[in-house]
Amino acid sequence: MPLLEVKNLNKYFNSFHAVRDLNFKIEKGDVYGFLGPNGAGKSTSLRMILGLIYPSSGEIYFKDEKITKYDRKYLSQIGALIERPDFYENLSAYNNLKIFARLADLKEKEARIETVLKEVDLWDRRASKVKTYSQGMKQRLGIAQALLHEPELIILDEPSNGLDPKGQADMRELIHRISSELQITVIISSHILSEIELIANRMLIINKGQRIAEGNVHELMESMEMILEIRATDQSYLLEKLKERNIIAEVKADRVSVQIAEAEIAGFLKSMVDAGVEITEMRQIKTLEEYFLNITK
Amino acid sequence: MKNSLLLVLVLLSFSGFGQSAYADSLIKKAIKKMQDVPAYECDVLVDLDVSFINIDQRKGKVYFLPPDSIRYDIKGFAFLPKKGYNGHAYSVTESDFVALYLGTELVHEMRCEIVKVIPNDIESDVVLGQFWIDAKARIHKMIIVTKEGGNYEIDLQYGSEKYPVPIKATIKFDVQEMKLPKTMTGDLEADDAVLDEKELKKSKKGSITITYSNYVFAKG
Amino acid sequence: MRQLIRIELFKISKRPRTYIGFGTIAFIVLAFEFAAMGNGQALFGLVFKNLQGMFRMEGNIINVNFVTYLLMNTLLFQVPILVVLVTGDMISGEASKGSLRLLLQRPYSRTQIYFAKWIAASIYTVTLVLFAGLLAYGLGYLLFGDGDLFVFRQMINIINADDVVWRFGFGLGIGVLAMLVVSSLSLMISSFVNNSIGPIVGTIAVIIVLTVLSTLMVNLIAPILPYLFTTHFIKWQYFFDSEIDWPTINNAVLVLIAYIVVFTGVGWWNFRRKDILT
Repeated sequence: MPLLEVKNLNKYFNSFHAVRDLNFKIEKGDVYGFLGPNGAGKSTSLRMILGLIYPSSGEIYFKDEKITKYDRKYLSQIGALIERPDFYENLSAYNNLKIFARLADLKEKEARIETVLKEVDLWDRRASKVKTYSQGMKQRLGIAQALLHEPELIILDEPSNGLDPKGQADMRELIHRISSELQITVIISSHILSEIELIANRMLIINKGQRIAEGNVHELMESMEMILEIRATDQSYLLEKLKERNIIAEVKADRVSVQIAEAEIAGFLKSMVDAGVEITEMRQIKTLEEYFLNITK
Repeated sequence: MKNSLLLVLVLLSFSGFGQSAYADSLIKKAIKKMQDVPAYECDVLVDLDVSFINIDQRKGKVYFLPPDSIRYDIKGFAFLPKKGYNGHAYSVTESDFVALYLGTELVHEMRCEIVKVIPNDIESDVVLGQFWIDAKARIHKMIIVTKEGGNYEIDLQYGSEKYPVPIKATIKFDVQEMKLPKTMTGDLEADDAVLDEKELKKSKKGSITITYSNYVFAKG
Repeated sequence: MRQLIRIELFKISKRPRTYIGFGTIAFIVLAFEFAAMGNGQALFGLVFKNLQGMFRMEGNIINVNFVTYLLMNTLLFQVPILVVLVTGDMISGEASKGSLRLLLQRPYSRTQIYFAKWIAASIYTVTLVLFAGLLAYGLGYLLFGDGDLFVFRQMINIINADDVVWRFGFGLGIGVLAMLVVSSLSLMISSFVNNSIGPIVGTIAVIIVLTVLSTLMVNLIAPILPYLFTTHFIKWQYFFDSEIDWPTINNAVLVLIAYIVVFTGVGWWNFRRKDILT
């Protein structure tokens, strides 16, 4: 049974179709990446899962139970950090979490607060006021509040936003620990492919509200064909040879792009060399990355 | 004939003079009797009847010291007459005056003689006063007309006290209706239409009734 | 639900602007009463010049009751602003900061959240009004002592000192209801917008417009006047008449309660169905 399943999810804001027929499943233990450029519909989809936005149509199931419009109980099993975390700046991290613990009606508040603060490496700074925290520390505190009530699923919307490379690395490491040590299923959204590639085991690529691709990250990355960009001394001769072999080429200024399965690259290059094409430069790009670069320009 | 006419005139003038003298002695006797009242204290009930004021009856005590000092000890706030009844009487007779006898009338079922008093002092605020005095030289009623202070009508009822002190005094006086703008009163629902000056200045009557009891007079 | 209410009250207590309300009221009361101490008799003299020509007036006129009554008239204009300063921000302010979504991610229904906020807003409002009343009366008693109350309503009404306190109690009750209308209205507007200042300005604007309409166009809008909530803000004064007009007061109470119900209902309905985009 999937932990979370979304079927034919749609959302209209007036006439704007923000999310179109979205379908995906998240299994227990997944680190599920939500990848897409800004405005793709990632946040809207996640907010629909959390009940912050109501779907125009479609269904969402959590642990096989359909979430109805005003249903809220399932949220006790979900933790989330959507956009910037908001805390009481004049209170310490500890006191902020105390408020959230009261909200969650936790029984052993102090013990739990200590656990999550240690988990996110903020225990030593627990007494400091939040206004003294860096952005990275605030993000980690945000994750701590999401972990407070021991959820089965945690949703992180662009958790690395605004972080420097070290901060991003720390965040990835934390998410990895949450998944592997705490056994919590994670949904992480991002507009950076490399980030998803490093953390997630499965992902959904979304653009203009529509699912573009979905599945295992490495399989997705590998199953796509490679794009070869070739520069030759005689471009027209190269094009002639490609045409003879029925290889479709795309001309881009001073180079030619062809799509070839990774396993066939060596053979292709040899045949070009044997045909007398003088290749001066070659670059290979995964189609997925190319696609993503194009849509995030 | 001429002598008879002259005699009649002289007799009439004597009788007129006689009547004026009589009136003079009546009022002076009544005033003297009032002035002879020793210090006393008594219980009072004060009732105000003015169209634009609503106030419950007030209870308290009054302390009198001759000649006309009155001190009230009233529970709560009270509207009281500016002058006591004797103060009003004294104001008419404090300077030289002419007294005229006007006959008799029944007041409080008692035969009272009416004396009109006209102060000689042209500067005096009192224009004239009229007194109803009984056989015991007690004033039962007085009407006082003043230049600045309006008109007063004072009604005095007596019991069985040995001194001429009333059991009930009603002082009627002229009042000018007050209209206060609602920004001052906070009564924002009040009709704050154009205030009619003439209407405001029209004199109306109000009254204070003081009921006296349990007189305790100073000894000696 | 109790937890939610406690947390909302905690949030209110942690905001500096909450104390602006109490501080402002304290300042107004103190300034007014100390001014009355210094200038009360002179002020009174102005008002009673005519009366002093006709009567000798005995008794303590500048007393706790008179000063408190005048203060209640003054505070009628300030307290709505001080209420709205806090309650208008309780949803929209959190929406703009982003903490509203943190709250809505919890397993509480939107109904519970809205009513927890409404209850906390109401507790703040009632506390503010009672604070104003009790401070005015308490300080007034210490400074001026007891005495009969002079009330100017169509005529001069002198109410005995021992007949005043219950009237203030009931008057304060109407004041509380009136301010609950204000807080409910501001919370309703707060549920419609995502910025902090909108509900505050909006609520005050509504009150000002209705009050000005009632004053300037009283003939034109006479038929609807009894149905405007601002019309009933001053009905507390009716408790200071010699003959209390209970039908009018009861009507005022019903209208004010109706507005509380309508504003709260609309605010709840909107909050329940709206998408949280911030």
